[in-house]
Amino acid sequence: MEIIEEKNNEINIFKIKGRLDSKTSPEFEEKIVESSKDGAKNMIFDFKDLEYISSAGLRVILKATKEMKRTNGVIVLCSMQDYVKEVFEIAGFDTFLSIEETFDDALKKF
Amino acid sequence: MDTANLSLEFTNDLDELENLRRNVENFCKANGLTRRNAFALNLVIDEVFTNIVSYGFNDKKEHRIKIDLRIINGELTVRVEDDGVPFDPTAAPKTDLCCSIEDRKIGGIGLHLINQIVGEIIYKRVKDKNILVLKKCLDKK
Repeated sequence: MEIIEEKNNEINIFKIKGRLDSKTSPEFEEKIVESSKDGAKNMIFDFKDLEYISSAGLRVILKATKEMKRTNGVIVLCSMQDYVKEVFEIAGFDTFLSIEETFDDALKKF
Repeated sequence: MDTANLSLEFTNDLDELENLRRNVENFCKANGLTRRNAFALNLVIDEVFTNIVSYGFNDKKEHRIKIDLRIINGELTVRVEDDGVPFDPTAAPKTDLCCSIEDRKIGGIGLHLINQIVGEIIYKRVKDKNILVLKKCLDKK
């Protein structure tokens, strides 16, 4: 897994390449925690190149979303591949997460 | 009869996930599973394996986890055997999907995914071993 971090007008963008499983998810969690410690309030998780996600990845996203909600921040997810999106739906995460089709749609949420 | 078999063995280490994924993918390719089924199979096995490695052992010793895959006439059976602490996933509480995000539990997501993906789950404790059998009907090719 590879994480590319970018900043665009006060939005922290995380592009995840590869797989978010129990082995790789802790690294993603650390990056999110670091940037929220640095005061990040707005985040986009760009999943265009995310090939796979397990419950370990979902857990990181749930924790981050709870934390952001507490501090009045916003997380928007975008560009999910079909099977990845299906995992979010099966888990029922699509009901409380903001999931957009494209990166441009995600940007418009801020 | 259309049958396929694969027996795998791994140590209780999350580093094995990559090895596990490769083996499962090769099995799926060799048997012409759809991409959707291959993704689901990988996810289910990953969840079971991760659970065992994360919560199954109270010692620091190396343990073996056996995973058998079998397809008979379009039905996939996954059999997982480990010598960890007894854990019956069929007796675990169900996840509440309708609660608000504040109340949504961090745990139990993996088990929920397994329950949604497979058609049948059978658990047995035999001679200090957990034996979990998961069955799923595969998509028609």
